[in-house]
Amino acid sequence: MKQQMSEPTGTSQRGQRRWSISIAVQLRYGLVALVGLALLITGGVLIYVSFQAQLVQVQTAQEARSRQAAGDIDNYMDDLHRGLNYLARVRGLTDLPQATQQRFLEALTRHNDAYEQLTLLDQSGQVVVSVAPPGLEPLRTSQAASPLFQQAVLQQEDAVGAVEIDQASGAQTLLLAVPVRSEQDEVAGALLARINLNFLGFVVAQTNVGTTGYVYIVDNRGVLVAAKTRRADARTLEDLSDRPFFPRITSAIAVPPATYIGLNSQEVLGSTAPIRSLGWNVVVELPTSEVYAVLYRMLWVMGAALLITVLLAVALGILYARQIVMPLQRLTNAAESISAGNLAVTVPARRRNELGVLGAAFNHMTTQVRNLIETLQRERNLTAVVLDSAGAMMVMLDQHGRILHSNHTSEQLVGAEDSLEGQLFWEVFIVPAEADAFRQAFAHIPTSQTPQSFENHLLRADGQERLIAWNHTVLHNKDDAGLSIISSGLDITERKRAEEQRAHIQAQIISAQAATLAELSTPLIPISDSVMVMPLIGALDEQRTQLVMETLLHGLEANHARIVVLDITGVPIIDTYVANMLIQTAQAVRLLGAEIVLTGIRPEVAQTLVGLGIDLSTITSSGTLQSGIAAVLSRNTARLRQRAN
Amino acid sequence: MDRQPRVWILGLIISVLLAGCGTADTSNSATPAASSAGAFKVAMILPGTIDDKAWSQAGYEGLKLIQDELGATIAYSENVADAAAEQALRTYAEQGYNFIVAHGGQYIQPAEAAAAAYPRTKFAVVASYPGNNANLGALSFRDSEIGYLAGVVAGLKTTSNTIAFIGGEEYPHTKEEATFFERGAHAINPNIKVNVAWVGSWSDRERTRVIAQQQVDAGADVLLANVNEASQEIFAIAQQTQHYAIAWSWDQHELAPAAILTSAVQETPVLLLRGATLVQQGRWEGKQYKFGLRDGAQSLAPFYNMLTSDEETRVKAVQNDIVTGKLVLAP
Repeated sequence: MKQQMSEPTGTSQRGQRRWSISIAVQLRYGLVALVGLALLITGGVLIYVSFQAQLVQVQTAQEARSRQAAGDIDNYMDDLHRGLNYLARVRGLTDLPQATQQRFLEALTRHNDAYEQLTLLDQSGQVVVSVAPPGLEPLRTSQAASPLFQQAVLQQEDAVGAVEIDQASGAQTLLLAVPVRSEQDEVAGALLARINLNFLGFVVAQTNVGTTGYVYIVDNRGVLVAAKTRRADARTLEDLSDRPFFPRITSAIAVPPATYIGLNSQEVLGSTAPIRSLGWNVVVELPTSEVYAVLYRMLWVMGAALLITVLLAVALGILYARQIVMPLQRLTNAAESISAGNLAVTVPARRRNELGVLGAAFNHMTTQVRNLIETLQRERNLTAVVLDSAGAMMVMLDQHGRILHSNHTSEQLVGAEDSLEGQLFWEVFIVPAEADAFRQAFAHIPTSQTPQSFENHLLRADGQERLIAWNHTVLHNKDDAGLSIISSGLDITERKRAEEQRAHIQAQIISAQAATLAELSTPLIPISDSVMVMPLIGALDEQRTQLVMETLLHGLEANHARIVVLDITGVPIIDTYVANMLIQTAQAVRLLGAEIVLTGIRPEVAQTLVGLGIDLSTITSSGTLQSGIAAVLSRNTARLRQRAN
Repeated sequence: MDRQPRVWILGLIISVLLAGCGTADTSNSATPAASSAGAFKVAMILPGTIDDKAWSQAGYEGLKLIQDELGATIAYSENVADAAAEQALRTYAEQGYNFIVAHGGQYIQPAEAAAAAYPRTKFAVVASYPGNNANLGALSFRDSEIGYLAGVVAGLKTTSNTIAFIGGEEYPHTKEEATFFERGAHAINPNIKVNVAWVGSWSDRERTRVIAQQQVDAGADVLLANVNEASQEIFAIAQQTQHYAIAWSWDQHELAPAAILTSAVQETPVLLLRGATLVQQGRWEGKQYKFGLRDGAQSLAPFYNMLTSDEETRVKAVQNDIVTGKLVLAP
């Protein structure tokens, strides 16, 4: 029964599990996944945002550096320009005496070391005055063909020449030209200045960009003017205009920092700022390895922090999930184990939350069920004990006669070691000779309304045949799942035998009694050797009369008696038949050579006999038994005397 | 209970947004406030209207740029005749404007007069001019560069070996453009015949059309149109006769997509901003300031597939040589 109950529930549970995720799993992993996901998303977004912010910061710093460097160089160049522009603004510079002009120019060389040569040219490009610091040569040749001179005088604008290397000193030089004015403020010549650019090297060298970054300057022709890595004594100019990054670094406006392969053929974050006064550019390049080192460090720290947070959150999630899931699982397991029949299960219900309440309720329910089951068990056990101890065989059959269940007694009786379940009733409990008949009779049992009783023989384990009284009662199952038959069998062999014996003894007693009665009803009392008395008391029926006749005859013969006194004093009524029988008896007695004397005929009897017309003349009669015996005895004595005589 | 956090978050978002708006507002309003107090005032006289889609409008846009970038207070006078220019300039100087721009070569004489009268005020003419060596300087394009490049384009596209430069009025800088146009064309093919014709006006459409027709009749198949809005007559004729045109000042491709090879774009606003910046820094000198390809002040407009890729490459190479100074365009 237990198995039948638990099996379907078990399969249904398994079936549910197969198709749906249990709440415990949902809670456990769902909660953890939720926490992890939320953290990862927020963390990821935060990291991304701060990464971007950091990147912008790095780029801004980079931009500021290049602007700073460009500003420094611009300032320096501006200073040089200012000197020239100052002279350019002098009204009538070209008309001044040469000595004055010379002092003006000399003043510039004293003002700034970078002026290596200052030359005043007239409108046709001829040298008017040329000044150089001590140790350097002033200009002496005509500059009429110089583009710089032409730009300054003909286009009337400030002109910047190309960077050149002075082969004598190895220094980088630059020519600047500005138009100078006459007394009428009209362009009437040009001031040509040769500038030593060594200072750019200093500026570049002093500009620090991180630890691996560098600064360099490119002129408008794409020539590398100064670079941190450039050797001071290099005798050639490096042209960068073929380099792929060149368009990016020659812009008149500041370009936002970008990543590209830089001057030293490594990936850099570079930014450019123009030197306005020259049309040159300052480029600041910071290798991305260094740029991103900060970012990567930040990423690493944030990633680690995120990881730790996620782990922590997941751990907390697991903990919380456990707090819900564990009791839930315990409840589930307990429920399963109860459904499997183990009622001893309890769940801890210490918590003061809903699960605690649930657990307590569960425990209470379990206890109640357990008590209920225990009560049932007790009753069942009692029933079983009663059944087993009753010595009755109890067998439960299905409608086809198959054994569903059998009690201990029945099993013991047929010596079954295994369960008898599934076997046919008549094959087990009825001897083969009767089995077929019973099987046919059994077919009617399921439809019968009343218990059916049969007596059948059973072959006991020890080979003895026993007679069993079976009582088959139909039980209709509630759920219409068919019917079952309770068959109870009692071993009635002994009882039957005892009954038979008792009947036998009774018969014997009855026959003995009958004999005694017969003897008593026909007493034949010998009085002497030849005289016998038979007093009859009570009514005489045919049988008794017959008996009287037989007894009388046999007694006569056995005793060799000659006279029989038949006393009928105790006989109230004598009918025709009895009277005839008495006559026949008297005749038979006579045939035996003896004589019958009838005594004690009461008046009523005599009246009856006469009334019936019966002739009793052949029978000697006497009034009373006493007189009769007396007469007989006297006659007998006389006869004896005769014989003796 | 559930609603409250949402409301709270909503409130937070709104307050952040409002704060953002608030800061934006203050930054916007700070500029005019500073400009009104900072007293950097820029005025301009224009030969045309501020919406003439040509020279004057470009000048006005420069003025707006100065206002936006430097926070200056601006003023301008439209349709200022040459005769009225000096008075207009004087008026602005009188009103205390720091920087007064005379937008056009025709104003050089009036500007010189006004500059002499107001030596503490900085003046600029947008033209090719050496300056008065004191307070009147000049802002100009490197017309040689753009003229030369236009000449290269024309030289590459001409089949009749005859091209024409049709200019408005004959100023030093327009003459320089014509000169370098010729040199650019000759750099491609020395045998190309370059006709230079002057309309004598920046707005006479009738005469412009007549001249353009004359040039077409003379065999020119590339017409450089530098006559402000009257250039449209040249484009029309070029399109009709299936010849080419080169536009001036800004990208005018849409006016005659089939005829216009390119446009010589001159960013006048950039020029004016540079000048105003110098003035603001106190560095304005009475000399000529020139800006060109390198400074982003001028460029060639896209070719819209009017040039083959080979031709385009050649033009770009020339442009690069000019920018890097490898090609020196001496007068």
